[in-house]
Amino acid sequence: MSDFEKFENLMLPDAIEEPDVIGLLARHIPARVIDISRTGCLLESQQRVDIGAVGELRLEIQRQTLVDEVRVIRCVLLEGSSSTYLVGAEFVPTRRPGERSIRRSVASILRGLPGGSGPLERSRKPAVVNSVRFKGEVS
Amino acid sequence: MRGRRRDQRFILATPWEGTLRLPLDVIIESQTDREVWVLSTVPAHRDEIFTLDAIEPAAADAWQVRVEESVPVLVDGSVRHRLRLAIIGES
Repeated sequence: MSDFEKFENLMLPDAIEEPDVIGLLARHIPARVIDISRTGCLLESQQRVDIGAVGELRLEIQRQTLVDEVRVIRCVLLEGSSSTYLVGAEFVPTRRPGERSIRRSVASILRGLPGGSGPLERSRKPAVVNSVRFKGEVS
Repeated sequence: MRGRRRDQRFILATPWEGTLRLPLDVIIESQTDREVWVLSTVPAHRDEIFTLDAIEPAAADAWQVRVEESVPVLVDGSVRHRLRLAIIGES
């Protein structure tokens, strides 16, 4: 039997299986953002998260919803706790940040703070208003 | 870890509340009006809540589901987990 005939046999209706029905099963884990930078953030969660998992971080801040894609790069149990995890996540820049992007909002806020990168968007009203202080600074 | 972080970090005086949505591809084996059976690469806890979107071959359905059962099964020599999910609403 030639290779072509073998291929033809493979294409017979009997050899064609029903296609798998693919679904997207999504786990929704409540999380709190503890600290943040332009490239990532530290979250606190009551559930362990797999390192390397890629997903979407959605924040509700002052009636605004901000969203960005993140990759989990670290997950450790909070010292002294039995069920609270610290989750390190980096933003995954798969597309240009839109109006509702966390990265964009954070960059906008940080530019207006001491230590920010400059006045590029200083005239722009920040999308998120929250008191932010430097790490290590006493509030 | 020295040199690991590229950018200065800022602590939020009031932590922002949010949700981390972690999706996973599954194979939908069968479904009724009330339940869906899927094959997953990872197990799930009973009573855990997920959203399930049917994306192939005919997109459209999206449900909120609750895990009723998670059983390890052998599929083509690999361990998979058959999840029985109760449909508790539309997503």
